Amino acid sequence: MSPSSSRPSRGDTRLRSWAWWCLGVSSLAVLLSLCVAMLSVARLVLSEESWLPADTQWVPNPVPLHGQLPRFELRDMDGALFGTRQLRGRAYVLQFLPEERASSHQHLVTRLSRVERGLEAERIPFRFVVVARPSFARVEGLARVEGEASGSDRMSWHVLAADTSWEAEVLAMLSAGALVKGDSSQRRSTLLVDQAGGLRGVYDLTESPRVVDVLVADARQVSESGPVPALAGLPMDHPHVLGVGCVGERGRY
Amino acid sequence: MAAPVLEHRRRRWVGLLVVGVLALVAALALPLLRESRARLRARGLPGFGALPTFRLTDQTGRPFSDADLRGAVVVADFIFTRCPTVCPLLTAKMARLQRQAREAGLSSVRFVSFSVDPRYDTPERLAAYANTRHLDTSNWSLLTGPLEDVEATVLEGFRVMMGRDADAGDDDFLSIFHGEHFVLVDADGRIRGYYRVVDDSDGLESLQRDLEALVHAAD
Repeated sequence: MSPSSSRPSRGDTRLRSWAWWCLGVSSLAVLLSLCVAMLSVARLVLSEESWLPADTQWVPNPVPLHGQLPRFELRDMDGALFGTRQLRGRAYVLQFLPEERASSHQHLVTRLSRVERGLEAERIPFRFVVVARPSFARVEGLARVEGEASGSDRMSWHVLAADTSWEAEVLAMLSAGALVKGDSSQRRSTLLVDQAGGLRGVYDLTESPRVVDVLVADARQVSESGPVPALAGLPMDHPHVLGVGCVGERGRY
Repeated sequence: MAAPVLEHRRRRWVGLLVVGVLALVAALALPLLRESRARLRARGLPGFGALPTFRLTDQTGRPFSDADLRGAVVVADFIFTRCPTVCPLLTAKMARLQRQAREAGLSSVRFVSFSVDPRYDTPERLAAYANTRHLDTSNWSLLTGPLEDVEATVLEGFRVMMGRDADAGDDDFLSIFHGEHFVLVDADGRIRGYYRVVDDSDGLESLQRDLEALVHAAD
């Protein structure tokens, strides 16, 4: 074999040199990528904020929670105590009646009856709690409510005598949450309360007839969604949270 | 001829060394990456308030309070022993979750089931329920207590539904209704999630991932 034939040609040498260069550059690139990855990991570990979104898909309750309504226990028309304890597990509408004019009471109770009829039409069980001055509660209370809600289930209505300190607590909560505009609207506020005693909405029924429809729609949502604030694992075709739980042939079980 | 062979061998050893270093770096980086992802997942979970304070009784008759869960990642559900429908399914899912947590080495997890029929579900009945279903109660407590206390804990504390029809008698257990969600609580006592687990949706899988993330974040 001649020496010239064992020696690689110039073309081969160049090709081999290029291959080594390419391999070297690739190795450097891999090393660089690994360094960057390590740096990113270190930064993520040290970082206080979330860089990646959580994988769990949450469906929030469509009706916001404004906090827990202060517990209460007030006297009804018969002098019996009634309050949060008896209402646990049930959603209800809480109506404050202002003390000024009887005509405004009438107006509010009329609108409240419309809310009740709207919910009844959709077969949504709801309680109505009217908190009035003791004079109203004693003299006119249930009679007036009955007059308006004629034909409806009396068991769903409770007329209770107001308690100043509890009312002040509620009004402070509404003011703190900027849920009412001024003092006068506070005193005629209609509150939507969920099954766990959470405040889910504040309405002024005297403002417009449309508010009645808004309250009915929100009450329907609360009835279906329950008190759960958000839920993961809902089927994709579910439009909203189902927080109430078991639903069977008999309804809820 | 010897020099090129030596050079070739040297290059081969250098190549192997580089591959070895890369493998070592990857081996060190992977757990770090996994841990940082778990921490990120844990941080990304929403907060739904504090674990409620409660003082109830477990299936052995011993007092059990929120203090017994301090420092542990907790999964809670809400059942009653007479429930013929969804509760057996919830219990089976909880048992599965407990088994998977054990297999994954998540030792600091506690499981609690609150009875939503506490007048009927005495500690003895809860113990019988656990025995019949071969539940591992080493880190799973079944709780009962006065109705008032249970309602305050479940409804106002966990914000999970429980109740019964107004006109139902004590024997009418079909009138009892309750939320069928699993609730996840982190080691700092904050509620971090509500999961629907009763159907084929990915609620249980999400819960498993989030549970693991919270345990790693707490370590």
